[in-house]
Amino acid sequence: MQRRLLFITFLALQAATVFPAAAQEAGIFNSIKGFGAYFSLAEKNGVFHSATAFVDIYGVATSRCSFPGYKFNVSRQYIIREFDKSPVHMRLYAGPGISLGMVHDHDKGRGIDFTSLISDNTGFMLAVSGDIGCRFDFGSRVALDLSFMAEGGFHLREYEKEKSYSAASLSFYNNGILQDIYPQLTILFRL
Amino acid sequence: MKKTATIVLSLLVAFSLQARTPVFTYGLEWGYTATLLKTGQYNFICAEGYRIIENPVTWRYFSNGSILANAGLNFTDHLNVSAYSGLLGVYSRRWMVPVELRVKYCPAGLDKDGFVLSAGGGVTFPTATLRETGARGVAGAGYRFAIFRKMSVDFTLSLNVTLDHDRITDPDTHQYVSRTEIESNTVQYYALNLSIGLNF
Repeated sequence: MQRRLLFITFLALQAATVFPAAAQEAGIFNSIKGFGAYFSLAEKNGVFHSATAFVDIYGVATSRCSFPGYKFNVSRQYIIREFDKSPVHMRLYAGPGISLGMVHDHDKGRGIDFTSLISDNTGFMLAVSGDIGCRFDFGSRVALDLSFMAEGGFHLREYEKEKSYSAASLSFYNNGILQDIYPQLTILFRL
Repeated sequence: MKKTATIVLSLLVAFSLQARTPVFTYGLEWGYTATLLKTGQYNFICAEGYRIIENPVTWRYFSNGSILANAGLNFTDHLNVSAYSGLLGVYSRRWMVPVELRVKYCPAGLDKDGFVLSAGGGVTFPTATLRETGARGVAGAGYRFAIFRKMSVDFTLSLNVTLDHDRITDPDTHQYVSRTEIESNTVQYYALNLSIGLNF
């Protein structure tokens, strides 16, 4: 298990260093989920690859925990359709990917809740992702990308009720599904 | 007060006369706020009956966020005035709803790539405990990327100063001091804000 985790982390680090160097576009990822950096490789035969590394703010914005999580995603995007309504060029795409990170998962108690903190809920998450989005190119060096992403995977953390035994708790990564309706706006810059 | 209102109105009329037709603008702005400094001025009578005057200065780093919507007018090709409101974090578990007026000046033009200067101020309404209205001032500079027609993206670094009130605790009884015993109670939060603004 540990070797696999190390291998996955190694792959993620490789991708994190290779992507910015070979990227055709870089951007700023903005969502209610969090904020971070985005890179995409050049399109080839209607397919392009994207990488997103962002700070997951679940629980932080509602004051339920004092520090954020970190997430990384690599996706293979297939261009489904292109629209050209000059001067706006739209590109509809969708594709699968892999997400991994160190994040908080959904916990009961919603909204602004000062009493039940979820700071002890941080854990490792690994999931397969499905992305659908539309890129708006206006002919300038800045483009916009609006997308939605769902993730299905697991969340591994220390079991909150048996911390003294260092017991692990493995559960479905709920936020992967609950946050799929959150829009993701990326401001893209051509490199 | 009347003088200020007259000056503001005259300026608005002057700007609107300069412009061909005022153009309405809308936008969303979100960002990261690093609260660095809190200063306070307290003057109150404690339970023992003597007066306490304190002016604490606390350097402490807090991460906060802000999300604001705005609507305004382009008075000239270089100047925009907008009203902002939304939600912003100012200190540890201290949120406020601001209502403020902000002036943006773009030397290269509002619809072109170039530097942007902004300054403004307004009132703030705390979302919880001690809901006394405060005030806030913002001044910053950044860069605007024109995207398409009126649409643009601003990246701005600004200094935010927010005035607030605090809950004063009696040093002996550890109870909150009654309002009637407080002569002055003001707090200022100083923060740096890095924001992204989408204008359309």
